[in-house]
Parts: sequence; C-alpha cells; structure tokens
Amino acid sequence: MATRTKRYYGNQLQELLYPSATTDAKFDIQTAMAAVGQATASYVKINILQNKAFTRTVSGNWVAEYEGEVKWDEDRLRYFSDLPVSVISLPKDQGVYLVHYAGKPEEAFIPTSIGFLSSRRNNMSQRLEGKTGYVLVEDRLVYLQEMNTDCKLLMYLIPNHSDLDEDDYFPIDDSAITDIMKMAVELYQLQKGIPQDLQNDNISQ
Amino acid sequence: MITLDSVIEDLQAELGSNTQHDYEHLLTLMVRGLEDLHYDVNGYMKRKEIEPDSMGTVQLPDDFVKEVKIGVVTAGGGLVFLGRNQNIFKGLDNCGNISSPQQNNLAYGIGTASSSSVNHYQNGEIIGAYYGVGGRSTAGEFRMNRAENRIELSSNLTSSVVVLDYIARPEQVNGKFHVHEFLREPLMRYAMWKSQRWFVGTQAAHQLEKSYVNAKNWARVRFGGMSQTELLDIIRRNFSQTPKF
Repeated sequence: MATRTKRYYGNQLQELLYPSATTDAKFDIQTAMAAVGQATASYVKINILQNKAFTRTVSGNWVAEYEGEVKWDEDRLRYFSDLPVSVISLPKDQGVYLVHYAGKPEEAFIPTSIGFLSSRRNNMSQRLEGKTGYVLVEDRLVYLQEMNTDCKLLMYLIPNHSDLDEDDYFPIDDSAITDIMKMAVELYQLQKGIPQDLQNDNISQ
Repeated sequence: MITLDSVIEDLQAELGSNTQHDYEHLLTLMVRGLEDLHYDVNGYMKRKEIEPDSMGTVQLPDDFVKEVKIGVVTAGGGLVFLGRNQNIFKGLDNCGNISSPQQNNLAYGIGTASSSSVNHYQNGEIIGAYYGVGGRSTAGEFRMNRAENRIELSSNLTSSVVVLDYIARPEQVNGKFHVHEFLREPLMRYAMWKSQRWFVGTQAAHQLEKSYVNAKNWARVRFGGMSQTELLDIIRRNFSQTPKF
C-alpha cells in the first residue's frame, strides 16, 4: 500500500486544524481529503504554471504512472484509450502529462487539440512527422491515426483527487506540502468556527 | 541531413520542456520557417518533364512555387528555353474545356517559323531569310496562367515534351521533413521568434527577430562557402601550363 495516499494527507490536515479531533468530528477525514485534493489542484494550476510559464513544464512529484490500453470504438470508428483516473484541468491539457507505448518511452505521443485535423487540413504539420497524435476528450484519449491494440500504454497523469480512493497513491511534491496545507486551511477557514469534538460519542460537534 | 523532428527536440531541450504539449505548435512554426529558409537560403531547383495536352497547356505540379525556366529538349540532348509571351490566348469553350482560338490574318504575325520557311525555300534549296525578324526563342513561347494553375504554350512548339525548372515547396520523405544541418539554428530561432513575439514586448521581439535574421545569414554564408580547390579551379579556368622543354 502506498504511503502517500489521500488519507495520509487528509490526516495531516486534520491534525493541523484539530489536533485532538475524534473520528466523528464535523471536519471529518472525508472533508479533509477533499480539501487537500482541491488545494493540490489549485497549487499545480496557479503556482507551478506561473513559475514556469515559459516552458509550461509541470515537474516534481505531481505525476502518477498508470497503465492503459488502446481500444477500437465500433460506433465512432476510432481508436481510443480510457484514462484510469480523471486529470486536473490545466492549460494545453497538461493533466495528461505524457503517454507512450510501454516499450517505447522515446516515442511519446503528441497532444493536439479538438479540431486539429480540420484546422490543419492544408498544413504540412498535420502528419505530426509520423508521430502518434491524440486528443483528450472527456476522460479518454482519442487517437488521430491507426493504433496497435496489442501494446500496453504507460500514462503519466496529474490525477484529480475525486477519482482516487483513500489508499491510492496521491502525488504531492514534498517541497509544496506546507503551502498546500496552508491553502487547504484557507479553503476551510470557516470550518474553524466548529468546536473541537473531543468525545467519541457519535455526536458531531 | 537531419529530421525536423530532431530540431524540435533541440528547441524543447533549450526551453527546458520535457513534455510534448508544445510539439504541435512548434512543428507548425518550423514548417513555416522551413519554407522561408527554403526560398531564401537553400532552396533547390526541381526539374520535371511534362507532356502538354492536346490544347498546348501544361498543369503546374502540386509543389510548384515559381518557375525558373521552361524549355524543350533538342535533338542533341540539350535544353532550349522558351520565351515568355503574355499574349498567348487559350479560351474556354461552352463546356469549360480549353479550346484553340480561332486564328485570323491579323493575329497571324509575320516572321513565324512556318511563313519564313515557305517564303525562303524554292526549288529544293534555301534562298535566304527575313532580315530583322525574330530575336526571341524559336523553340516556342509560353504564358504562365496562375489563375488556372497552368502553363499555356504557343502553337509553334517544336517538342512534344516540356521541361519545367521550378522552385518547389519543401517536401517530406516518408512523412517527415529532412533539413540540412546548417538550418538547425535558424529554424530554432525562427520558432522562438514566432512563438514569443506577442508575449515579450516590442524590444525583446525585435531582438528575437534579429537573432533569426543573423542565424539565417550565417546559414547563407555557410551554404555559399567554397573550398580552396573550387576557388583555384575558377581562377585557373582560362590558363594552361606553359609547355616545358
């Protein structure tokens, strides 16, 4: 079981806000985990992208690795892959950080935008120099060309907290934990008015 | 030759980017930059043999940008170039097909190949020629009709095949652009300039442009460079060694 889980960070926040809270407190662990998730999304979107606006690079321990597979959609006549988790909404769809065939890390797929094929119809860049292009549509990657359905994919994603289980790995860079906790505290500032529930008597205070 | 893909990777490394989210944008810019450099720096001439249709027109190739020369092959295997004549007329009939114009006596000028040969050939021998007529290519003439994307040829064309020398668009080999090593730096500067010019202020944008123009000029110098042997060859072209006894 991964140590850096949503529950782990939720517990940290709870400890920070209400060191003596019991399991039946109003600011329960579910709320704490949601707060950390939302704060993380905001941090990545605002801080990371602002600091590295030029390269738009999201680095550090924000990215989680998942396996995926390519499927053929009979109705829409196209190849696609389902994302194992939903991703944070970032400029240029950077929530999907990197995707490639498991055995070919040197040939990363190229993200494009919806409408790429029609907008570049008469442009020689449309073929993407023979590379594999995809578009992020809802919670799936739709490919622009024929794909090999036998090969496994590796996906590097910046996951949205709401799709993760409590004990799933939830990547947060160590250097940012303090800031994220601070943001989570600010997000739930109003909750501070709630008195600490010191008695575990199934009555929320 | 290197691939355009590798130039993009170089630029991504320079920018510190390790994902592919800028790839498509950079590729579009670099293709544009490649065209610019192709026309100004290292563009090569492409040669194509084309057979005119029955109405004396030739469709321009898909990758055609600008004609350099249009000619026909002589019996000796050399090329004779056609003269440009913007007065050649090829009309359309009711069905939209190219039709030969109806010739009349006014339009049939003096000094054409057919009239001169008839007038100066008697009793099996050539007895002279018009004086002061001609001065242009006798192999035929052409008109560039860009609106219809074709070359229109005069009716006195002396060959069944036309040779077209033209500047072509940069082409892909197996779906990839291959570029000369000398173009790596100007291409990177071009993409930097074009991608950043709206975001960095006028002064910085001007510097980026200058950086591209400098790189382009260096590439031009590199392409135009000559070896010592080539230079000596040019200098010594009209000289021969003195006989030694």
